[in-house]
Amino acid sequence: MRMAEPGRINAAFRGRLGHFVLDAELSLPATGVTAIFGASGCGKTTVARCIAGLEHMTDGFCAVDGEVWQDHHSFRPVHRRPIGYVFQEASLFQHLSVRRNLSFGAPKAAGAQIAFDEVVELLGLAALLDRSPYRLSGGERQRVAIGRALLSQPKLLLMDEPLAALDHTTRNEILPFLERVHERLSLPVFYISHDMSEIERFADHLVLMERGRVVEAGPLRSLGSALRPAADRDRYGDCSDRQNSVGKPLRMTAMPIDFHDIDPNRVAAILYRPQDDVDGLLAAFAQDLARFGERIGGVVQRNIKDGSGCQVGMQAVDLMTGREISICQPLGSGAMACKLDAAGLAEAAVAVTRAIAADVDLVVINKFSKQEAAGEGLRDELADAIASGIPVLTAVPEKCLDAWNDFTGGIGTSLLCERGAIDGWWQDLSSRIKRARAARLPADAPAALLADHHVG
Amino acid sequence: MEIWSAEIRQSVLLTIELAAISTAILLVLATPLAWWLAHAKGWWTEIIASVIALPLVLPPTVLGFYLLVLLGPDGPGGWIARLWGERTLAFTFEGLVIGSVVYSMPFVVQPIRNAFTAIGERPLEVAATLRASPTRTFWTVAVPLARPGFLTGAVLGFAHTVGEFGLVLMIGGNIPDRTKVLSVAIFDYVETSRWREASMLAGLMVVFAFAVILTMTLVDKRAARAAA
Repeated sequence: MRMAEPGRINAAFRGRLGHFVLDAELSLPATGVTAIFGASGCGKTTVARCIAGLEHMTDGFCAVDGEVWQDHHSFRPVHRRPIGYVFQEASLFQHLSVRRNLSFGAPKAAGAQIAFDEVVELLGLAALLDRSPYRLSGGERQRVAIGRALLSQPKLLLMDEPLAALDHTTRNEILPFLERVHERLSLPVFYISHDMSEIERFADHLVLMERGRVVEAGPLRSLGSALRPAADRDRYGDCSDRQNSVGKPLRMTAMPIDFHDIDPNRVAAILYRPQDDVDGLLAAFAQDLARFGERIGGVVQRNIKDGSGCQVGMQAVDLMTGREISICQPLGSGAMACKLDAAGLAEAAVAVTRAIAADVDLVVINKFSKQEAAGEGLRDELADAIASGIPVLTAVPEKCLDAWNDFTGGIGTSLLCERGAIDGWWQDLSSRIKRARAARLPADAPAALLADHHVG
Repeated sequence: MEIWSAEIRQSVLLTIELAAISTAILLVLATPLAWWLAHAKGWWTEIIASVIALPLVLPPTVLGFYLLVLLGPDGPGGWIARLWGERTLAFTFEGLVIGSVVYSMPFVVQPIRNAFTAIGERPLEVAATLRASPTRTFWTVAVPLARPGFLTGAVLGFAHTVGEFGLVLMIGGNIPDRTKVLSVAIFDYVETSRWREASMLAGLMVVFAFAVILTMTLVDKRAARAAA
């Protein structure tokens, strides 16, 4: 959306920095706090630097509140953009006292909107004013840096992980100050973070980035619930039955599978390679279908990642009720202590039985691995489904193919996707998404669901 | 004191004058050069840097020879000298200043360039986000932060100008009150067996060298302490 709109921040940057490819487009209200969230290296900082003008993408557009800062013909240099920028490290001017750091960017003329005394009071800087930056703690430095940015009277404040370089205690000491800033000053803020707990504390809007692209954007309330399971739980999670619903899925995506073609007399499996994340795709897809009222039952498992994208556990969701039925936790270096453990597997079996009883059109178990093959729980239920003429769809990692064949020997199986076919499938998928995005129209193929519900 | 003769006084004053003027010119020329070298990214950057560093390796007589040709009546120096009615820049004080500037340039450019590089991009970016124009950023952020580099550069430039000998002899000769600086004077006294004068000047130079090294060490120490 390369046009300047009053009251909004419009930005689009496309290009390459070294090996990193950025292709991000944003249109957000120029009010409140917008959090840019994503794993390290997803391009959050690059987007902020592009908006600030610190990075110059030739194929870029940036307009804030109707004022064009960058387009094809013009590029406003950093020092002419009314921004405040708080870097990850405080980066105070070491040759100046705290007071002179604070007033470095402050306009000489009186009558500034954000007054010196107000900022000093807001951030608790009174006792530090005549000190040298060398004599400050990390938290104090970052408060001075925030105050310095505010006093330059910005129209947009960009904060690039301002707490990431601080330890836990210091972070908790600064957070209240940040909240006060956001409450007292009606200043649009871009807050970059990979920590969901920070974001939930004061963000109004959320932009989710992945590999240089914006994958989702919108008010935190509508997006937050989908992210919350990952954010709420601490690193080790728990195994209790959770009542929260699955919430809005992050992504729906197109799959060239016609469900009517799935053989009801066999368990259909998509064979995939680890890097292809087919199980994640199938989970999102099945949850969408169930949520939109399709008669789908079964159980999906998905990885729970922490803010920085590390896998910290696994969650299984009953498709019919939308409830989590088990949570598993990691056992050091990425190994799962239990995936679907005995209890979990039993619960999965119950979910499948319930689905058969409800006479669903399709049973989905998004991931099959050796743990499932080891347990006996699920086999009978799958056989029951086949016997009732309900097709079963699952995804099987390549390395589990033998276990899968053993497991389904008596039931019968059909592989929907041989390993060679997956390449073509992904290419087809990505071109579909591109086309859908370009046309902003629903994808055409009958079996494919529309990719990518962008908000805003 | 008899030994503090007019001749010696002349040499000392001439040396200080030459070193002061050269250092001032060096700082003016080296600062933008060092800034450019610290920030330019092209392949030619290091070629220019190597050209500037040549006097570190070249024998002063070689440098002196080329400068003599350039400053002489048939070189560009001669053409310039004609503007004020002289024949040549060789064997003049102005010629010595030019020679000293060329000779001492690497000793001034290098510390300042290192200091600018050590600052990094971040303070400059911060200044830009605080609405400081590139000029203001340069004067209020880059130069103050690079101060130790400037001090080192100035001290080294001054000291090397005071101590140069081969080059001065080649392009300046030994003309009292015009080109007879300390190092040449010492050589002259030794040649004419005036040991007392020679040893006094030599002693003076030892004290001076010691003071320079001590100053540099203290400056370095202070910079390190400030950065801690």
